[in-house]
Amino acid sequence: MTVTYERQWLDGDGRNTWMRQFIEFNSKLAILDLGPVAGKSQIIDSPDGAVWSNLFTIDPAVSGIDSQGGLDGLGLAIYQDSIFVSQHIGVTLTDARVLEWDGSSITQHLNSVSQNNSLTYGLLVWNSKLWLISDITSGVLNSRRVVYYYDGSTWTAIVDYDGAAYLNYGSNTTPKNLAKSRRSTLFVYSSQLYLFATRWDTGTSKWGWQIWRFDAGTFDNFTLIYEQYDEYALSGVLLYKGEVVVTANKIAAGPTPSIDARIYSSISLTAWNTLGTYPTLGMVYWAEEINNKIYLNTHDQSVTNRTRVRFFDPWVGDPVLDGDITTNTNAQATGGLINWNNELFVGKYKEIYKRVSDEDVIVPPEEPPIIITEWPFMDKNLAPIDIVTPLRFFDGRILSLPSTSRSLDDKTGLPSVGDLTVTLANHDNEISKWLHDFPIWKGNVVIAWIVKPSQSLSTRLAYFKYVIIDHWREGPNVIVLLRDVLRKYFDRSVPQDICT
Amino acid sequence: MTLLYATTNLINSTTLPPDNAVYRSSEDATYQVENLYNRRPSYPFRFTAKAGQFVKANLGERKIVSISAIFGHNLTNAATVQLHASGTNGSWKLVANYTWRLNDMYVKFGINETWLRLSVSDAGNAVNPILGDWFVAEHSVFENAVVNPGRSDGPEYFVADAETPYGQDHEASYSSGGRFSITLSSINDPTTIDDLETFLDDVIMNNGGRFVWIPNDTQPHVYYVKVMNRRDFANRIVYGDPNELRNWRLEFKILTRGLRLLD
Repeated sequence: MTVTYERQWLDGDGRNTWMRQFIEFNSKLAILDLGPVAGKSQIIDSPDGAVWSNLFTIDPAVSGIDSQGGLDGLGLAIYQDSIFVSQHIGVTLTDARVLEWDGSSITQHLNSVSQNNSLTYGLLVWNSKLWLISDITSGVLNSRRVVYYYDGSTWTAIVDYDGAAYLNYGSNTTPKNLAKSRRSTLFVYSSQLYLFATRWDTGTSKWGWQIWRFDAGTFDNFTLIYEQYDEYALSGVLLYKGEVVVTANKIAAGPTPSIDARIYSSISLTAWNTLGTYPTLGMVYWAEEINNKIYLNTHDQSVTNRTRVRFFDPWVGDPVLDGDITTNTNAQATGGLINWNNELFVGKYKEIYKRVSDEDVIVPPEEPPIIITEWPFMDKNLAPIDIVTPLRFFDGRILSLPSTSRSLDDKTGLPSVGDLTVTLANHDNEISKWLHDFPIWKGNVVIAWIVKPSQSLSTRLAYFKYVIIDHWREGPNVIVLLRDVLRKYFDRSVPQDICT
Repeated sequence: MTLLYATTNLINSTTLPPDNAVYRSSEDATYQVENLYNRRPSYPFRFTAKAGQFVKANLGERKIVSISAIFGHNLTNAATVQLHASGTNGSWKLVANYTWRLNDMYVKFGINETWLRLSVSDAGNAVNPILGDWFVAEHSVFENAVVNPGRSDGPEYFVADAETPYGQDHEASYSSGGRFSITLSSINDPTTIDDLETFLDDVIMNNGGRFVWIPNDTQPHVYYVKVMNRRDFANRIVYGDPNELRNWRLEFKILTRGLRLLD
């Protein structure tokens, strides 16, 4: 298999650009192009990724908006058919704005509610609103971080973070350096909104990160659910095979992140596995799931300034170098990644590249899968045979698992599955120990997956989510009765007749 | 050509304590060092780096050791695996180099030392090295028993066949092992306990039926097996004084190495 990265767009026409973030707008691939001419930015787009043209230019002199410049407008989102771009304003990064382009004109937002010296970024659409993060970076209100949302007419700030009116990100370092590690990110997981935030902890004098969960009920506060200070600052958060994966780079002394990277994963968001520590990986600038792998766009300064694309399947091994796009100028950090129209595009300083390969699609042979189970309330994994995977061990304690099939109820359209009686080996009293540590099993969820024995664990497919109805002992075994979790919530008779 | 066996592993939680960085170069969070003596090659130990790795054991005092076996591994045949010994935790003397074999391998030697170090270097491995179980012991032979010629000896496969009513045939191979059945004749003094019975007491009551079996010490085969029969082991053929002849039948199976999903 030969992989090459083809340059798609050159800086031949005098642009001074930094290909930051890709987005799809009106079925075209678009990218935020920072500073093509001093003091301006533009969005350029392309129908095929090869030929690019200007979509709109943010030119203060023309559009009457505040002059802008500086680096790191780390926010781009489509909301209500407009493109929203977050910007710094001023060479010294004094003010922040959010610009909206509706196809014909530019509107400036947040200029009445923003505080001086703030940086906005992290634009995300959730719950029919546009969300962003605002960090204040100098002055008396320095180190404050607030989340805003916009419903199309009004901007509202969230002013309750476990009771505090704002988050304190703990450092008065200039944002320019930390922007490379994307300071913080809003992220949606299991339909909930979370804030992943890099933070300097003044108590331990270490960098680290926190996770705050938004309360979608009261819609006015965030709660801290996790934090760790291991000197790694966030560079990306993504969803991969049902798990949240975080990429981070080390900031030992600060404020500039180094090429020492670390990658974590979690399902619960409150307990994290370190998938690997990579001291020379480079600044992870962007991470996306593409074709069942995580692609990383890194700025690797270990040799000369290089943009390197790596792919990474956490269940297989270390990141594998896929493309080495050397820059021969004083390189800034690399840019975004996107899988668009089944092609991978990479942004970096002044250029956009497309990945070209001749790999064939391999169709795996048919083989019947085996069912494996996760018992998240005890953090145990059980299967009919010991299964070794890089990150978790499936204990082969399932002595018997009856055959099972899923069906759809034709009245409600809900999937259903029959009860499952699972026999677990307790000859060594190991299950008894689990019953002691986790005395209440009934009502807890067990998730069944199916996976093919010759494939990677990351190819597993969700089979069904069960709830434990009952369990008992029979001799050296423990029997567990599992029932379709949907019946716990929807177990009522459906009218079979329609009244007319 | 002698049948060797070893029942009690000198690698245990005392000689290779968990959660102690002195005893290992690196340790995966999920597959920890205590899995090296959990008698389950299918629940292994894993390093977090590929080259220059080791695990150590402190036997507490000088002990005679003659076998060091590894059961279940993912090492490439370019890996360097060595056993070193020392009186202290240092100044290691090379005892033996392992010759790569698929799944299980062992070395036979004779030393009387306190510290042992199993060194693994496998830089060419795509993933971090995994070791199932590490078994160290002084081997034994049956003093008064002779293995009768001919034994049942062959692989065993655990495969699921799924044939649909339409004739489509799939299969999934889950694991492979082996089965053996050997018979021994032993002559012993009826006033004492037959050494085969002593052996079975130790294996079945103290070690879960598991022991290490080397059918022929001139060949590189080593197996971590489990005794399958629980009764009907023996027949007394000749009654006499001061000796009797008993025929023993033992059935073993090789412990499964489990199923690895793209490790």
